Amino acid sequence: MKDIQNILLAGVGGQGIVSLGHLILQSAINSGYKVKGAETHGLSQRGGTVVFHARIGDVMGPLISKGEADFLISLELAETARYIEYLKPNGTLIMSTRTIYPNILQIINKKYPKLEEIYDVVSKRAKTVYVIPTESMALEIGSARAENLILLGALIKLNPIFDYGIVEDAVAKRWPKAKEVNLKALKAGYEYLEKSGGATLSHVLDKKEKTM
Amino acid sequence: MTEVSTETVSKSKVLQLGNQATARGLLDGGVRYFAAYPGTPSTEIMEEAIKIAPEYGAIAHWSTNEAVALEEAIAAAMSGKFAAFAAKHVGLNVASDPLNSVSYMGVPGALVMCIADDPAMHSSQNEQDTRWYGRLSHLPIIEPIDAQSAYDLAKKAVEISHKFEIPVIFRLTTRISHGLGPVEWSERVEPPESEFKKDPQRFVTIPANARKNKIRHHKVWSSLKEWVETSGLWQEYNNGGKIGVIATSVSGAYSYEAIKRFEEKIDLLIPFITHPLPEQKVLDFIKSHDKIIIVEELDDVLEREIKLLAFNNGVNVEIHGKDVMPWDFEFNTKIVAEGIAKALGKPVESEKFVVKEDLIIPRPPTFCPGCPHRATYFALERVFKRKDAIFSNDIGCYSLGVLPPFHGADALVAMGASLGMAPGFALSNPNKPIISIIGDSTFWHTGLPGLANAIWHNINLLVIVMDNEVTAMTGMQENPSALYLPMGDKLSIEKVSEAMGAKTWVLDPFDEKTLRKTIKEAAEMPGVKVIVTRRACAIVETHELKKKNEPLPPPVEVDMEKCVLCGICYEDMACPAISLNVEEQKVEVDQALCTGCGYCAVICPKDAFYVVERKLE
Repeated sequence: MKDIQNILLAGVGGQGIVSLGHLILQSAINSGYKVKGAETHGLSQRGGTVVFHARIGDVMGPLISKGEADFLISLELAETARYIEYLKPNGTLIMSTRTIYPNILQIINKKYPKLEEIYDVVSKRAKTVYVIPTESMALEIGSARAENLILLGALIKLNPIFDYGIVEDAVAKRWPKAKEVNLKALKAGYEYLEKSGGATLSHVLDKKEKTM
Repeated sequence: MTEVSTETVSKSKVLQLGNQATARGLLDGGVRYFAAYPGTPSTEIMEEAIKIAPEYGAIAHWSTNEAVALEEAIAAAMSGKFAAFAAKHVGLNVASDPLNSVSYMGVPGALVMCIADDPAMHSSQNEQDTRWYGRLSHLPIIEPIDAQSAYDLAKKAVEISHKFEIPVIFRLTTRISHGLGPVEWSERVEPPESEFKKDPQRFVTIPANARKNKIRHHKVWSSLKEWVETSGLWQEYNNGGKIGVIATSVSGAYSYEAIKRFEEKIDLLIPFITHPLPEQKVLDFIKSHDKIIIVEELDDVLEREIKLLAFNNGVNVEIHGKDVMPWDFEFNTKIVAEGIAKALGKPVESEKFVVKEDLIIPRPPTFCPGCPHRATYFALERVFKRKDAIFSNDIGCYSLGVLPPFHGADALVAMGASLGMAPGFALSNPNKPIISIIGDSTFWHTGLPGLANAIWHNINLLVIVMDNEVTAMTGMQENPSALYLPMGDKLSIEKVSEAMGAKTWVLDPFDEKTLRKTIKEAAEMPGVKVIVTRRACAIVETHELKKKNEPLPPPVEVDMEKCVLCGICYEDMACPAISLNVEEQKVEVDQALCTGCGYCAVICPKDAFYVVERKLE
């Protein structure tokens, strides 16, 4: 297991998870690593839960087994709870506070869980949890759809196998037209981890209270 | 931090899906005629082929259904062309009639049939195992284990098909099809020039000829079997152990990783051609081990074959298969390792970390924001009020009408079955309204014979054709009446249904009042009535605007002064972009999800939504 790195990406259809997965794998290839990956297609993409398996190193199979992801990157709050069991005990969790509310909850009278409730559970599994308010950050940057790149920026900061320049290149090549805003999002995610307070739950909650 | 192996890959390799690599392999192998019908997880084989066909001067296009697609490919291969066909596993059922006849006669060119199974039924109605079709039709099966082998073996499949004049089944599964990996391409094969040469004794399957063809096929099969023994179409990892694993398809990849997790030395054999099996190779492998574990997703096809092989050759070795491996759904490395542990009599650790169930919320797939199907279901719901009618549904995005808040599906069996089943429902339940729901692509696929049958039997039936002008569920493919992606002249659903004799309307599903009124009226008329609800798929609309560099419509705005929280938009219509903020008691529009389609404004009784008009040039 020593020479493999498993990165699981989770979220909701439409959040740009497949693009994010491709960027991770392409950047790894460009850095000279072997890779394997698995996408979600078809029925499950229609607003349902979406997961992407990115595997780097001496890998052959496309899927990450439960309990074997080194990193879990979750683009949507409630999806973090669904996929946390894929994370290794002692793995790293990078989670967005973004919530996408499925209307079915109203119909079946079920509650959407609170940030603190989710955090409480996932922090029992993950060694380190990074909490990032991607929704407000993306709106600030000027692209509501760039949340995936904010999280990619955070991943590069934490993961030594990625070189910032190589990832930047891959982003610029993938979206030549929207290059500027996407690179801005990448940088914002990278820098967020350096800022005072860092990507902690209390930092996010503090900020929330101030804006209210 | 884990250390990652730094074994480098060539930077010239392309990151491809197994499906894309298959398409490239087929064309590099000389395929110049390719027909298919979309179906997850097989779709991207043709999507890629359409993209790259011009480089090769090849024909690659979607057909109306799988039987038609295979028949096209058969005729091309009869004409000496190297041809291919692609479908999902259940698509091969539709094409199974021509399949089982072409197998005896063979083809002078080449014919590779790429069939993708869907273990775990990510996007399918069953888990049928295509490998049985190889036994049923007496045809060879080739199974890649990843994207690179999909490329190499697709090329090889074309070669084998031409060499033995035999159609070849190229079997993928979801994780091969949608598995990504770096792929290196090799030299192209140029197919020979060819045209159709008459040979009615071979190509016309009247019984006298079919009998000769069957004998001919046995001879071909014998020579293929002999060739397979020395073909080298397998991969062996010999660690010098007494335990041996034999695995196929993606299970080969999982097994490669799983055997490394044991202290014991475990050897691995992955056959790439699994029908006919390289028997001598497999025999040598099982003879040199004390314990054999067979790893295959879905049915015990390989296990039966290998146990029979051992029996016929008097090999007395302990063989495990489905006694330790799951019968259902897909595998991964951990599942395979657990199966091996069971076979070795070792304990399997159970997971102790469990997330409380109420923290995991349901998130079923749903109609996208802006989807016209939601509007049609909303109108149907208002007319039929959840009871009374029997909804005979079909396969497409609109199948999701089964999920709350809608009740638009009481039965869903197969492509086109919404119409095929209609007389059975109507004549068995004479007092209930029967509604058949079908999409544009499925209408052309297998809807036509069912519609003709329903009209012929003069039943009372309301047909709703939810026409979003594209084959949407599989990711926006062309069909005979598609809007933005025409191949040739567009066909008309309403002209066909009128010509067959059904009273027919074409309506915009966003015109809620007219649609509702028409559904009510039509349901009360005798005979077969057809309402085509036509509006382009929201995803296609967005793509088109982006392509033209036009701005996307901005999200709608809510006036909370007017809103009375009646729930029609977020509960009854259930647009994913609209939700109720329970704490603040207000309706919120998700800025990233809303497409600005404006249907909420159409149905809001208080005019609380503001739509910003799209600027047109």
